[in-house]
Amino acid sequence: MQQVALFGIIELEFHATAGGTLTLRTDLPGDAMAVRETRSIPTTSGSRRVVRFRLAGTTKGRLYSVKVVPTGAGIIRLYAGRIWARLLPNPEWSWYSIPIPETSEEWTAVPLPIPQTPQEWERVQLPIPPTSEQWERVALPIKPTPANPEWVDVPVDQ
Amino acid sequence: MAFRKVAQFKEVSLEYVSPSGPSTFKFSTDMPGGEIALRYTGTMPQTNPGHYPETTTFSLVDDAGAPLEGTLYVPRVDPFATSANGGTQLRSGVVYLRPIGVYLDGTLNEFFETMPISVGV
Repeated sequence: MQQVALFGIIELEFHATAGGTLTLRTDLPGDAMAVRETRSIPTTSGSRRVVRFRLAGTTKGRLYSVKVVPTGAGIIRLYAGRIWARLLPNPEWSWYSIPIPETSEEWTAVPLPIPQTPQEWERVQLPIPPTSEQWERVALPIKPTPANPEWVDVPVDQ
Repeated sequence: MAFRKVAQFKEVSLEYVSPSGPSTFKFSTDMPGGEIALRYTGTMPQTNPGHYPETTTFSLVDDAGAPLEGTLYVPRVDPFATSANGGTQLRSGVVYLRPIGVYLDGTLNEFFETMPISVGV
């Protein structure tokens, strides 16, 4: 069974060049997801920062969703977020992570597609025709003597 | 939820041979503007006459010192104009990057929205 939660604070870690809008939807009252809270996301100068958005304190729901929209042509880099909530009837408040895709603190090394130069030397045969181990029989260009005599016209003075 | 995966680029290292003179390294990305454009140009110093490879690292930051960004990147090396002592040889290279979790561009009407989440069950 889903428990009803009371929502107190949304915390975002971001970098916004022109600000934006944060919207919180919950399913209570009315059992239908509807916008319950809207906050302006401030412009951050330089790098990213953490901003807490305090909610009305009476916002509640079994389900919640968070929406972030940049203002105009602005850019928002969203790094992390969490929501401060209390599961009724428990008295304790706790932070619950908002499922924002993580931005790694580490840099990933990606090899450039440069064909590898091998460490070993490669043996490549030069294109020299091989010398045969066998002797080849080649006929000399001597005209053969015919077996029968041939008639030959002899030039005679007339 | 609708957004693209955008990476930040920190630096690039090249192992190369360029004995005739300095070569040029160029790095292009598609952001900002959505079109591939030259974002960084660096000089690859002339290497030793013995043709032994050397390594040079370029810091890929813009004029404000922020890492370059993009969904696409194009590294390029132009050799020294002449090759009297040998041309430019690229042996290997690596670029250091990290994808940003959520990058929202207002000009593209991008937004981030979670599914309905239950705090406690």
